[in-house]
Amino acid sequence: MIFWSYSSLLYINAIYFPWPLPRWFGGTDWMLNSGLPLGLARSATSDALAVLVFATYPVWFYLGTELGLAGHRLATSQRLKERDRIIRELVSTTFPEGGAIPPGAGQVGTAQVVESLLTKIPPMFDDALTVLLFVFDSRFFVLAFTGKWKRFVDLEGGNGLGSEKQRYLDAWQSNSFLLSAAQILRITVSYGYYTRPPVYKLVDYSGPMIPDLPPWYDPGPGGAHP
Amino acid sequence: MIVRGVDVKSSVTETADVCIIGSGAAGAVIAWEMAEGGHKVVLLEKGGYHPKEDFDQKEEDMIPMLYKNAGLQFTIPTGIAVAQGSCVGGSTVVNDAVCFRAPDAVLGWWADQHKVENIGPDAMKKHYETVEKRISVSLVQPYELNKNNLVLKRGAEKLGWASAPNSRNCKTCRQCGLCQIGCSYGTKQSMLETYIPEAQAMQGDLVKLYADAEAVSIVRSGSRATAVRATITGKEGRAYGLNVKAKLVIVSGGTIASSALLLQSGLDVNGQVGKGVAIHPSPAMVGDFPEEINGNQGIPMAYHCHEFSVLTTGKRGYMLEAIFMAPYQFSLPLPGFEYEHKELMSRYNHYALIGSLLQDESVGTVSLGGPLGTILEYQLTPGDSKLMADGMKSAARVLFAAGATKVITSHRKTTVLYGEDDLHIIDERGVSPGAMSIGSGHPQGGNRMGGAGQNSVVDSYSKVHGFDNLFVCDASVFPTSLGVNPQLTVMALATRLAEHIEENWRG
Repeated sequence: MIFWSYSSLLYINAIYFPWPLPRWFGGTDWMLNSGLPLGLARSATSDALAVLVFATYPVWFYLGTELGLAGHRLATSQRLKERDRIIRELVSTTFPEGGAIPPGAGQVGTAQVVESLLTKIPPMFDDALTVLLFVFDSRFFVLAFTGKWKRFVDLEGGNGLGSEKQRYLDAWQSNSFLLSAAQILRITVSYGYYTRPPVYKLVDYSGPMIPDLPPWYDPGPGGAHP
Repeated sequence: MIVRGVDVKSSVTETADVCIIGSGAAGAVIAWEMAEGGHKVVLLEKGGYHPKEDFDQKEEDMIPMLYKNAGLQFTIPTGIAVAQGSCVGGSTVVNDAVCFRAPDAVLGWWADQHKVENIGPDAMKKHYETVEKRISVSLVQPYELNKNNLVLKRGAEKLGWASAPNSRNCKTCRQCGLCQIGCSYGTKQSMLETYIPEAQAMQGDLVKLYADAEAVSIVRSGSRATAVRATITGKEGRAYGLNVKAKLVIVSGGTIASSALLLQSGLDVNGQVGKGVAIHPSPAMVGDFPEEINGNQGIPMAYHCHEFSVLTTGKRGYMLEAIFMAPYQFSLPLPGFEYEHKELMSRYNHYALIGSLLQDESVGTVSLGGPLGTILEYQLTPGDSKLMADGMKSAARVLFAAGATKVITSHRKTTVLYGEDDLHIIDERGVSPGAMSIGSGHPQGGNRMGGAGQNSVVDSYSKVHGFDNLFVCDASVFPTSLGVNPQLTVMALATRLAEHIEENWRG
């Protein structure tokens, strides 16, 4: 009933559906065009079609729930396995072995730290990040940015600059439409790399000091200031 | 009494004089003040309770523990990272302990343009003094300035620009440099070390704090808020209902959470909730020095340059602030990835960092939706972009004046300046979130304070328009961007509100 009512109210433009991107102009536009520049507008025909579609909602709802649950049950472990594979390839591309800080992400457990991070954030955000990783890995986006019908994990990697994987990553980082998504990926991966002791020790960062005081602690003239 | 989610085994109903949502700079202060007046308070905090003994000085552990969404919170579509604390004590647990009073000019705008009553410097003075005493605000001493802060001091002085040490809420600071991941020594006088334990220590168990408790909605009856419905998350993620019936409800969750709570409760009484958000976007400029700076060794934020700030000019501007972070957080504004990023990070101990805190226009909005439940839409205005470019150039000039051999901007495409003659490159590369990595830690506005008809959500004393007993008190009530670090003003406004409620308490 909620779905029915909400859809109907959207269709007649009585309410607005808040969604980040792209921006819809109102409920009718969202129902008819789904944010795509289709230019559809309400008419007697669309009203008739809407009534027809709304009438069949229970069927779609039933089928969607049943098939979705079946798919979810079957695919959860496979999905996590694939997600972790994407994470491993992503972190290895972002922080390969060699260079000024020699250990690569694969040597310092970056992927495991990122996977662990996903268990510490709100479940809905974990789901969203997982979806983002699959979108990043998808053939559609790889095709759009590299012209190759491949998944990200199947692109040529290696430690050389200018590899297919590196170029694809670069394309994401510099695309204005994918700003927030690229930032999330970059920050997540950096978290898994620069928080690792073998990495931060190489930039002469001391790491935890407690319970001791920092070696550089200066209590000031006559002891600590008030 | 502090109740954690793991302590709860079934749904709970509480009755209190005051229910406060959020235990940060505002919520903790009001809770203490109300309890001091003899009122029974229930304080709800979405984040966990972590005393200083839990702080292990590791970014890997502390960031997911203390930051909202493990620090992964961004503006749409601009991708600006907005850091907020999410724990008992709120952002006061993870900030740099910097304390500024609101600039006189800003309070003047609030009074003149937004019709906020009794908000001038004289009226606010006693509230600032009260808070400053309670959280031990004192001026950073010369021996406490590490090389990173001294770079800003030296550069600003060479250029003849107004600058000064910061005031901080810290007692016998151990200078570990890790304020942003919780003070393990307990010397930072955050809410976790001051108002919250002091409220807990009061006789009569007047303040009951629920950690891991997320307010879901405020129940309304006519012009009164009658209860707060929350969920408290216990063992293995099990959620229990928490219903708090209260005579007064005070929302202090910060710009994003407070706006979201009002919206999801259907309390957007005049269509203004979530509007007018500013964030103090702050690009970082990194100076590379031949000698070791060791910026992580010592107080991260101890000095500022206010030559171009509203503090000096009386106009919207920017403040240059020395700041430093542990490696992960430091790595974020540096451009590139792969070998390039490693190369840049390998100079970590030779870097000095200056942030340019922009007093932005309030054009952002908070709305409901998206995977986190809330969306913060934000863009820089053309005026903001111009000021941001000026701020970046000024930061670069300071760094060069202090002896930097090169300055790395936070543009996504690696941009290195080798002298003042290169400053034009900043304009050429463009100053926009799309071109740069920009951080923010000060979301403000969303439930602006003001007179009727002033695009405001709350009145001069934080009461939501159209309500008798519903208040919002946090940075979300700022009518404009503050232009300086906001925690002290949030606390002072909380003290002011508590006094106002006490004077008008009718039970």
